[in-house]
Amino acid sequence: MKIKYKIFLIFGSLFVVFFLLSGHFLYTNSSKQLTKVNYEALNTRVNYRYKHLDSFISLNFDKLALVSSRTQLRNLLNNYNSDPSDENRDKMRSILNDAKSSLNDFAAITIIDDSGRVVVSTNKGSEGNISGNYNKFLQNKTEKTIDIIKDNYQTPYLYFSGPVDFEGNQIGTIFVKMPLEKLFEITGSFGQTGEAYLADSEGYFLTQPRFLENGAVMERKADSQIFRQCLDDKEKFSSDENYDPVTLTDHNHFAGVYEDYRGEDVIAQHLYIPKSDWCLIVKMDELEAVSSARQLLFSFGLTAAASIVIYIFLSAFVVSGISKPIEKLNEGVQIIEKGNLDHKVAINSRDEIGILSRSFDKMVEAVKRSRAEIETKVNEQTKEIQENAKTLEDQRKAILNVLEDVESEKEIVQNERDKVNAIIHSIGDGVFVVNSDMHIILINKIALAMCGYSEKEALGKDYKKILRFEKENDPDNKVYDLFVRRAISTGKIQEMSNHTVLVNRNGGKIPVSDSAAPLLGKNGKITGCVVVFRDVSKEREIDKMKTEFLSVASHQLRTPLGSMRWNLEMLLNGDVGELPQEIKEIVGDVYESDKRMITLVDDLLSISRIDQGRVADDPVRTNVIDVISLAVKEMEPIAKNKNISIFVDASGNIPEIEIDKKRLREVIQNLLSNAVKYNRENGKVDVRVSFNEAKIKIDIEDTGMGIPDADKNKLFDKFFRAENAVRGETEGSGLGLFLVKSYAESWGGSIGFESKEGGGSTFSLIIPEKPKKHFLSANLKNSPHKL
Amino acid sequence: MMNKDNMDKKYILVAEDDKFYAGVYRRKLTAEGYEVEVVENGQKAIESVKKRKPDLLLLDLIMPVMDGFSTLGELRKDDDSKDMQIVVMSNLGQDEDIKKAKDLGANDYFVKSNYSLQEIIEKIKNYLQ
Repeated sequence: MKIKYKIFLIFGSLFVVFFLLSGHFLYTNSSKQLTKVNYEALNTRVNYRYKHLDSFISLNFDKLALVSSRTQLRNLLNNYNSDPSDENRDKMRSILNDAKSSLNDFAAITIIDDSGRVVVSTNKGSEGNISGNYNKFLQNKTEKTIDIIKDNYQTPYLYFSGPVDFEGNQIGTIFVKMPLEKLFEITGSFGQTGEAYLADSEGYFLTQPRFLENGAVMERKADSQIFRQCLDDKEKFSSDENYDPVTLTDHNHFAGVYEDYRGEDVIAQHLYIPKSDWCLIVKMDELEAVSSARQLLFSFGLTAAASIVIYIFLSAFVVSGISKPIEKLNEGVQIIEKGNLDHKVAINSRDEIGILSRSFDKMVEAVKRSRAEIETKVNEQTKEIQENAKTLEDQRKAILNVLEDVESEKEIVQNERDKVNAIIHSIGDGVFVVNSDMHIILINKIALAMCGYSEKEALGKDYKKILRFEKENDPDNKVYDLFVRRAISTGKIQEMSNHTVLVNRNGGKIPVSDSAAPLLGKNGKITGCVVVFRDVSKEREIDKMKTEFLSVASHQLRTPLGSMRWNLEMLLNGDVGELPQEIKEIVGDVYESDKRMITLVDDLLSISRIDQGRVADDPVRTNVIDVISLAVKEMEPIAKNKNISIFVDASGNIPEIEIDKKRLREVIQNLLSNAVKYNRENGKVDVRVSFNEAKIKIDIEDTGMGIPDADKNKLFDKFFRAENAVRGETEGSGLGLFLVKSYAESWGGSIGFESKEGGGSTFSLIIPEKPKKHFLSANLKNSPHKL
Repeated sequence: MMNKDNMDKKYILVAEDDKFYAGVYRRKLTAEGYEVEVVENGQKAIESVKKRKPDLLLLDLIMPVMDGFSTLGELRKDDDSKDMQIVVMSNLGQDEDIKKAKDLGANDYFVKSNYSLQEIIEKIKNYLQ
């Protein structure tokens, strides 16, 4: 709301409240005063009327007395009572008529006897009649009475009555009749609503009330409340007959506002008239009594309204004088707000608003100046930014060009990748690719199926957590990842060693065979490794069956061979009697053949075990020299047959080692046996044992046929026999060196040789000071042998 | 106690189903001065041990009715025979078999075909000294 309306409203409401309060105060005060004044006026009136009435009554009683006290009339009536002659009556009537005409207020003068019969009357027609109406006069016939009585035509008349005496005796009752209007002259109306009326002791109107139609007299009842007060006064008067009726009424006490016979609010005063037992009541409408106050209020209201109108105009003028500059200032601010800094508010008044306006104009000027400065700076910077933006745009275009190239390259790469993916996923073997951090970057469905993980789970993880390879029968369940590490470190394709298992998600072990190939980046750097592996459970199952078959077969073969051996031995030892020399030699040959067959069976069994990785060690503390010496001692009888000398030379301190003694003996025996078997007659075998860099080296040098170059790389293969060895009809299974190599490597050692065909061979066995140990895994401990 | 009757003669029980081996054992060991009884399966061996506890039991593994492993287990369960000397004489030569037999309580294990009769007799003599 604008200030001007606020000010206007505040002062306006103050004005209205002021006028309302003062109007109310004025009205209530003045109406109270007026009521009091009017009430006092009513008192005056009632007193005045009372006196008037009282004198009227007294006057009329006096007039009546003038008539009744006439001696002539009294004598005539006395005579008439004793002689009721028409003459007497006529004489009396003439006297009465005289009185009527001289007193002229009276309508009729009548004399009645005690029985109520009209004796004589100015109204000659009523003479001799008896009327109940006159009983009232007879009730108090000795007293003067005043009364209003309706005649036979129901017209009320005023009567005054009194006794007619003759020599101390009442001889009749005289009364006069007057029209009621005589009383109206005394009561009557005043002002606009003022009236006075009389009521009888029962409350009936005795005079015509102002506001009722004619005929109300003695028919309608007067105002009840004021009449009741009048009755109170009558009671007081009856207890003290000397009491002045005028003083009876408490004139100082304002009796209040009553409802009169019309139901209008009136103020009234009363007086009790003892002479007639009437009540005189004077009243006026309250509205008239306070009409001056209303007029005053009306003029006051007019004045107030005029004041308010003047106020509106005046305040509008004054307020706009204050608010106009503020509005002007406001408009100016709005214009400036919209950006027009050239606008001037320019209010030249000397008041605060003028000062404010001028300060504001100054401020706008300052803003304008600083804005101009900023604009200059902004323009400079914008120019700079635009230049930079242009450079950036050029760069962006260049980058976009490059990106387009990259995009097309990417597409080609993507296509290549899709192709590779398709190939990898369609390969029947498990395939996965790891980066140089060993995290899986690609894996095919077969590999996922085998390990039991989803592609989502596998990708990006260390491959060892997803594809856990272990060595079969490893009691420590260590992760076997050598082949991958080697592929990455050497950059060469690596075969996974035999007897590798994949431990899948549920801990199940799947025997696998696999290889790892390094991934080479463009610059030849190794960026990862591809591993291909396949489930070899079936092959392994077949292997196992094969081994079991071999195991059973070897047992079944050994049993007859073994019993043959012992039986032949008994024959040779003469346990059943000395054999002839020739038979003994034959039996000896059979014995040797039998032994060889037993060895062959044992070798076959060993090989099948080595094939399955089921080599179990029984390591004991062993002196290598002792083992060699024993083997040499065993070999000497055979060597002697070919006249071959065996020399053992140990240099330095050879330590004892923890090794499977039986296998070590088997190895030495094999090597020694070869050195003798493939040696020439009269040859020699040199066994040299040395210890260097934590390794025991055993060289066995022979002077035999040597190994042809073509056979050198197959020498340690299973069942391989060198071409010259076969040709030379030496006996052998081709398993010995295979076993030697297998055992040597199982200890972490090696076997190698130098040889020249025809120039002898030197086999070098190297065993580490602490040979590796192999134990049976639990699942193979109790392998069944069903025969 | 029983061999008090035979005074110094040691009593060897042989469980061997192969009659050729059985023949060799009987002849050779008798010739070496031992009292020898040969039975052809494990069950009979147990029955025999219950009748008379031998100084040494030579136990074959692969036998009908009751094999050597079961026999070994049964005998070692019984208090009377738990300390008895039992040497397995079998042509099963796998590491697993040897380990199993030793775990069951065999005092020794010889693969018959790998030893000469003379060597075996030497070993038996060692056990009975």
